[in-house]
Amino acid sequence: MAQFGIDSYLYAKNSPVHRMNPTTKVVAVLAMVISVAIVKDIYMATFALLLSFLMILIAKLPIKFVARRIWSPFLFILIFAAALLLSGGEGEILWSIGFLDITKESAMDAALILIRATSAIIMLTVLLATTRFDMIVKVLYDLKMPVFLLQILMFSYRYIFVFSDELENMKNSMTSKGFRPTLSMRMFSSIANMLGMLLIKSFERGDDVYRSMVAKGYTGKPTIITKNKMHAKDYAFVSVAIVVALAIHIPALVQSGILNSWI
Amino acid sequence: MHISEGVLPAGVLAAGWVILIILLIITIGWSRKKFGNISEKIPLIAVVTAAFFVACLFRVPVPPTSLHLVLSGLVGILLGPLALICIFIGLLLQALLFQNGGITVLGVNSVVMGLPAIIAWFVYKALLKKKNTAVSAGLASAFSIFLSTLLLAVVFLAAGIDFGSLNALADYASGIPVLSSIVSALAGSSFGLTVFLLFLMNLPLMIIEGIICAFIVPFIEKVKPEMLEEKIDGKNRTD
Repeated sequence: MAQFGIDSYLYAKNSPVHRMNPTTKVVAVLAMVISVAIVKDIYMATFALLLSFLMILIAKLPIKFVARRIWSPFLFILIFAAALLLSGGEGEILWSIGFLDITKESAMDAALILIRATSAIIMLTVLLATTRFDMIVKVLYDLKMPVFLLQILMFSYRYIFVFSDELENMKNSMTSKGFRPTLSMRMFSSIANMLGMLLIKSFERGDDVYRSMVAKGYTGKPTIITKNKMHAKDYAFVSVAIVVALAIHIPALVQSGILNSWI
Repeated sequence: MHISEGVLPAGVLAAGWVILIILLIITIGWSRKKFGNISEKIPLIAVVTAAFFVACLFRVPVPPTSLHLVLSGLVGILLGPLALICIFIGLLLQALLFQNGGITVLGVNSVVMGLPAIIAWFVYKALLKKKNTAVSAGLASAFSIFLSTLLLAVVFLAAGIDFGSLNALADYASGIPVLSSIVSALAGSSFGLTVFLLFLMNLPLMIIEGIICAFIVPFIEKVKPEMLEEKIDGKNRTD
């Protein structure tokens, strides 16, 4: 499982971010992520990016680790931003390459998307690198996400590790038996049979586990004994996070003139 | 097939969540009616969700390159109405563990992939009356990718993201015989262009997924038929 780098909790276990109450942390980060993902003002987006860097520092996460975690989603966004940049649109033309015109508007749009997406991803990474997954599930339970969905979430999380180990073994055994990728029906059939077998094996195991759990009195409620009781300082922190999350939208609102009637 | 965090405007994101929640309520109610106690289905849903998750990491070697499977069609064929729940949880896990997709776009992404999965189940069942399992499964899963592509284009259109009106490209391509006629037909309608580009990008995936599912479903039918939705409504269970 190490190859996927899932569950990165082990980094720098002792930082203020690690010690924070999980409910506080999840609510505060979610508020920020939602707000940052839709921010329209490029300066505020840059501010959010700086804030996310600050979060990495406070959580004492190695930069290299964070960079590796955000690399593949970042690449996606980069390609998307590049497509947006090259697609042009109306406005002042900055450069012309062949039939493509890069306008000021499209450059601003692409930069905004790149910055706000990166900061949202970094914030989520910090949250997940400093919080155990079962704690996150517990918080979701406290936040009243339906138990039926949470049970599926918890079970799937467990199976992912079983599955990817199993898949790795199957791939190794196929390779050692001389399997080489060629573009032929036989290759597709081999891969499909491998995936099919993986599904069947895991289904049988999952069914057994579930039945034995039910026999032992499992009802679906998370039985984590830890109480995430929030104290005054937690409420204060969440309030500050929500205020910041709302505040970064003020410049865009002022610009669009919605606030003018109030001020 | 994922849209990343920070790309779509607030309105589209909110609409995605609203549609997702409505669809979840509908499909859970529908599954209760169909299967009775759906808690019994938790292991199956979780296994398929994990498979869906792992399959998205698995790269099928297609020389000279390789591509990721999506398997939303297979999810639909295996779970029927429960497919949306599975895809929602799978994408939630991907967002949490890999920052693939994102939390705010979870609603949009789940609808874009989950709705076609359920439709694939209908298509599969309809085709099964006339064709064999392999052909039905292959066509149904290819169709679900096609539908996802279409929904993705609708999302882009709703978000006001269009990749230019193509007029510049039309001028450029006027010398090339086939391309120029395609481009001039699409020029001016940004929706047509977005669909065209996305379709072109997803065409290999559509074909590969179709072929893979055409092999997987008959394999499961042979080895463990009770996993297929048709067989798990209590009639064929021994316990």
